[in-house]
Amino acid sequence: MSIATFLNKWQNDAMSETGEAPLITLTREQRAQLRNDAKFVVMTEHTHGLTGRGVERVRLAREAVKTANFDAGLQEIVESPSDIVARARERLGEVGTTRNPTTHAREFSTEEKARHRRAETALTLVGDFVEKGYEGIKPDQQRALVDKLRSIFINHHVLGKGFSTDRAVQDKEIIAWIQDPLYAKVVATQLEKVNEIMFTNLSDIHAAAANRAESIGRENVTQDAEKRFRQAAERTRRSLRDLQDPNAAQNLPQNRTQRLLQDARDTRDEAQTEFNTAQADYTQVLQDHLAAGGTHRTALQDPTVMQAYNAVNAVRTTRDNANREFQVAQRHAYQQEQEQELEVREGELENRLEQQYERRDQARLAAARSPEEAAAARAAEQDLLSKRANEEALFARHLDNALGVAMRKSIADKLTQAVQTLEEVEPELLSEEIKDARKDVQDQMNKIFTTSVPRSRGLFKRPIMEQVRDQQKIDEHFTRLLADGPKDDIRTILAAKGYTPDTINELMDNDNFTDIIKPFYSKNVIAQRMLTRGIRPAEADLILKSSWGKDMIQQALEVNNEYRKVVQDLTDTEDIDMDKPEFRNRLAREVGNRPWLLLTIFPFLKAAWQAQTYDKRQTLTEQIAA
Amino acid sequence: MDATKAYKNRIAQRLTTILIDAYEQQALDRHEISILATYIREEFLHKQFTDAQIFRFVEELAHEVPLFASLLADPQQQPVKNVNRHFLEQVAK
Repeated sequence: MSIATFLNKWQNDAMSETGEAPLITLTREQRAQLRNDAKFVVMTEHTHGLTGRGVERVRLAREAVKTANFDAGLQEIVESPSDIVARARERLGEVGTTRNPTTHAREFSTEEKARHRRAETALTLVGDFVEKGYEGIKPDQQRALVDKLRSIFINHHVLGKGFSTDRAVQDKEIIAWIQDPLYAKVVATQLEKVNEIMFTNLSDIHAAAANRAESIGRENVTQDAEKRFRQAAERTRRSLRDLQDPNAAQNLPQNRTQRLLQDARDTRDEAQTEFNTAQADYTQVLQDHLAAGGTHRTALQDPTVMQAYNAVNAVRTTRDNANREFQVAQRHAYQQEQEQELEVREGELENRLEQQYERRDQARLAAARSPEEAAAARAAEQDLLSKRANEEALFARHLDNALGVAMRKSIADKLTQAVQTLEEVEPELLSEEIKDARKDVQDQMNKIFTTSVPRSRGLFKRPIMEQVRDQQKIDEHFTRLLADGPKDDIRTILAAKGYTPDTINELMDNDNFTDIIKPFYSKNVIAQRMLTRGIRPAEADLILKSSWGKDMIQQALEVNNEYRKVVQDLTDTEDIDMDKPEFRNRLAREVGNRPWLLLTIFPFLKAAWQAQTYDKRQTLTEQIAA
Repeated sequence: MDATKAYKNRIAQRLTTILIDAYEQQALDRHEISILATYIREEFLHKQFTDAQIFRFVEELAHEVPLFASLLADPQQQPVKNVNRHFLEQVAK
């Protein structure tokens, strides 16, 4: 029977309170394998601690106890399966940090959506299973559950070895494990542990986001101000450059220049009109003179004509002078005004530029750390978001794995229980035959190691035969034990007790027998030798280096922590490994120098020593036999 | 606070502390702790007890759940003061 089949059968039988029955059917190797498997599985599965919400619960419970509110204290650590599922659903509702800025409704990012979907799918199955059990969930959920757990069984360190390849048989075995009440309990516990995964507070994330927005706003304001300054200063500088240009006048406002030109034109036109009128008057007078029979020559003597002529000349000169003077004065006034205006304008621009620089410097000073603050705020928010994302991912992953993890824990628990039961019933597994053989060996050894010697006793020196240890026999057995090990002498002893060669072979091939009889014989011989001649350093060295001596120490170390401590102290190391030659040599060296240390390593030798001291030989025999 | 109430409070404190410790150290399965916590709340905290009933409750609980055995091992939890109180009451009469 494979370990897997055994375990399955054992768990079914355990429920019917006949758990130890299948143990008898296990061979020694299978029992040893079961122990080793259990050690490994239990070691790998039982490495959890209280985390997150569990710690918080303990804190709240202790606070309640401090205020004598024991009811509340206990309530903190009570959680029914329905509570656990409800709590998990609440936690699922917390997944996702993105919110619509207007409606504040949750809006999943792509990653959040994937996490939420994974957690939701897992929780539907886990929650329904915890609340309703395997029989209560829908057929498709049953199917999904079995399929989800299949790989765990196939790949399991213990169960995988004997797991059937037939899918129908697999399903049957998996369902048997699922239906075990222990599994539902472990799943609930696992779900509770998932609930304990803490999420970073949304309020902290929102605060970090607000801080980031504010910092970036400050940074933007600073950048905008700098940009505006550059533009304004450039405009001002350009205006100044224009003012300092020799052709700056051209840049004066057109309306003013036009007005001045218009004035000049009006004056000139007026003078021109006067000139034209005088010219027309002169022409008329001259025409009249000619019409009256005069000639051009005579006209020069005509005062009227000459008067008209002189009037024209006078007006022309006036016109030209007035026009020229006006234009000069006008230009002068205009230039004066222009210079004043340019001076004022330049002053204004310089002031403005100075103010712009001042404002720029103030803005820079005020916002000197804006970019660093913004970067730090961005990083802080990103850290929180990443942390939250990891927590949510962990929540989804653990939820998804809850059924599998619970099954592995469930199997580990079963293994532990199986090994415990095995430890309890194993001694009974020794057959009566083995017990009888051990007793025969013990009797025979008592005979071999004792001999009768004649002694005189009492006041009248009565001759008697006294039973004493046969030193010669003990030495022979001890020498052979050191040279060849215990096997041959045990055979001889059994033969001397009347066992046939076939029976002896059968017994010596039975590990259950040899595991007991070899140490028993070896211990007995060493104890007898200790009581007669003692043990020399070289012999102690041989004992510790022999394979049977190593096994004996190994057994002593496994069953008794005190011996382990003694050996650790002797060798000054915690790394006890009898398979390592260096370790065995070191132990042998220590014991070889001080053979009495064997007393501390082998408890039976201590008993022998005490027996020699207090002459309680009978007690010794009993102790050794035990 | 009368002596019985004080005694019950002291026991309640020990029971609760032991259970919280077990929860923290994961000495028992959480499911089992939930059952025990509910049992203690409903069958002990929410009920009126005499000193003798309190002791019997603890005795039975410690017998059924070795986790609580330390309650009986600690002499402070034995109703010593209770005995004294009865004795004093009798003497006063």
